[in-house]
Amino acid sequence: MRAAHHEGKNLANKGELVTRIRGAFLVCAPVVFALTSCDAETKRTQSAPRAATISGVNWLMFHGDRQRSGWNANETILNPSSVGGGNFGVLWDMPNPLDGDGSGNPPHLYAAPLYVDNVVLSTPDLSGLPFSVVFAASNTNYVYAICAKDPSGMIPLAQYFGVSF
Amino acid sequence: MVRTRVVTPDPSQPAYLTIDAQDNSLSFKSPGTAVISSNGNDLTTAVLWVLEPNIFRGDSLGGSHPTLYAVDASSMQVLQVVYSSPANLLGPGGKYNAPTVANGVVYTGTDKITAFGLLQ
Repeated sequence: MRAAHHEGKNLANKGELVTRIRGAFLVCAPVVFALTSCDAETKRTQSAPRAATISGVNWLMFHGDRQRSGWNANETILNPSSVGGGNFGVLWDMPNPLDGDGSGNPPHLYAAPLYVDNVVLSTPDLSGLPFSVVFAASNTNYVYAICAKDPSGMIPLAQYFGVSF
Repeated sequence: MVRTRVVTPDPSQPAYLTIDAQDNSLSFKSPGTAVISSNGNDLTTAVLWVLEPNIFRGDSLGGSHPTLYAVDASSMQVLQVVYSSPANLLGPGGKYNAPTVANGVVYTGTDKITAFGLLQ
């Protein structure tokens, strides 16, 4: 799987705000993604990885578990008091929609976002750096890995899986 | 919006669901399935999250402006909406999609990803 397999579509615009790191690879089950770019914050935190933010809470499938319970019973920050206290709002919002298809149709996310709290990069440049990553799959056959803590919501990783049938 | 409760009358009998609380003022057009966050089994910490595209099933996604709802799951009388995202904040889409809650952040998928949480 080669890097920058994204064909440079919308990533060109999104990349204006990020520091690109090419040739690096992220190993994350079930797919090995080609790393096409990464946020500047990531580089700043190389000397101080985000291990302090790792909690072990993951959301790896639709509704969180094989029972499809839809229940995260390890949420210690959000509760009715904190959410309703007037301090709940948008942390970050991606500035642009995700990639459309070749016919100009817009993207839609029918699949729920997935969350992995501790994805460790194996590239020499970012070796040992833990990431909190949101995975998103669109109906236009892209799968994205997004820095969950990135206030700009940039896309560090994107993989195109070809034309749908 | 209706909260149900599992009733187990007798070990020899099958369990069933009963309505535990409801709010008839809160209804959706074509929401995704709800997810719940809580701190352990403490119901007073539970929040129910729903992403509602604000369009009916047959409507075009292009005109949708989804809303993220947070509902206080602990109220026994009326389930209170403690937060709904600002109108038109989320991009088109979000039909039948469920938000994801992890580590104090709620992630929604529409035509992009948006993250909600406690502001500093």
